[in-house]
Amino acid sequence: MIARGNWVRKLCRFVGAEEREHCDLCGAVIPASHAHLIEVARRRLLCACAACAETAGAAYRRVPLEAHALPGLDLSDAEWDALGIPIGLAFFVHSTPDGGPVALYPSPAGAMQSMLSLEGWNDIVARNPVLATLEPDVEALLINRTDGRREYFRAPIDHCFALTGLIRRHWQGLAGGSEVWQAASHFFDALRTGEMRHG
Amino acid sequence: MNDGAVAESLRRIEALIDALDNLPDPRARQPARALLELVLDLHGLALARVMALAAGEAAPLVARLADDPQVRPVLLLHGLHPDEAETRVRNAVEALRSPLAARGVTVLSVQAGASRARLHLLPADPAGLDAEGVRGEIEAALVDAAPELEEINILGLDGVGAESTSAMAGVTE
Repeated sequence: MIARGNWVRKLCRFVGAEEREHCDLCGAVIPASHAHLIEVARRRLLCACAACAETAGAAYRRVPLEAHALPGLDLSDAEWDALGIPIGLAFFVHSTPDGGPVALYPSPAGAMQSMLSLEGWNDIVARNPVLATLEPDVEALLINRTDGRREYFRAPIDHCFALTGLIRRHWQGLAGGSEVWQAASHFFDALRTGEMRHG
Repeated sequence: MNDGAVAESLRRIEALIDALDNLPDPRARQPARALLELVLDLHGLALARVMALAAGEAAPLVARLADDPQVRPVLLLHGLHPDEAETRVRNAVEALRSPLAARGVTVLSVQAGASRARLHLLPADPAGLDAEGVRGEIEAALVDAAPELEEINILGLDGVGAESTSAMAGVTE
């Protein structure tokens, strides 16, 4: 390989390259739009071909495709504060390996897990029965309280991971910088209009 | 645009390709790639036509275009340079012979193809030679002549290679 100077080769290679994604289970080349699975025990997201997505065993769960806004969700500011999330974004998911609900929030170091008071959470679920219908491990309650918003979504877990990745990539300094919050704002714009692409 | 600015543009092209290749999201790369492909096609076809017209007029015009510092890189990019990569690599090596000889390095053989070049060198004093410096100079001269090269092998500069190259030189002599 030549390190420098062969710009024609590099340009042609870039233009001619194809982005190919592979099934994490069988290695087959898969289209840009493909199924995602969660490896439950390790909370690890996998890309899967159609066949593997169908036949993967109980160790995996298929991630749903669509996010839905939950405009009527009832969560008071006091309840939110009691959850102890340091930024205005968090997602809650019933975790099979943890044996209960967990709270996660994006940070410059990736997704952080926060202790969740089961009592407080049970109160919230009792008033919002939709939360009891979230699919364990693969579907989350996603909360956006940045910019004074009070937004709630029933969101596939891969969307939550995508938001986490976005925050990690754009975070600057102690408070995150304007770029990170702009990126988060674009993410929620896409989520609201249903333009979030799967894959 | 002067020659220095052209060289700077070529460096920037490499750096920007690198930056695009390192984007974590493949979807961000696709529009850049598609745009580049379209613009390259547009220019490549137009330039091919210009070269065909120039060739029909008078041969010296093609040579002048091929040697023009501003036109030359674009001809190379579109594969429209009148000389094959192999010829350009061989000419570049010929031009290197006397500066290398001044440093006690003999060029024993050159193999050149569309994307690969291979040189066998015989240094008079391998231990006293700035091998990395020589390698860098040769690579820079060869990619300047043929920026479409994928690989350059230079044999005989390091101790082991020098021995085997010397042995080969002994066989051919």
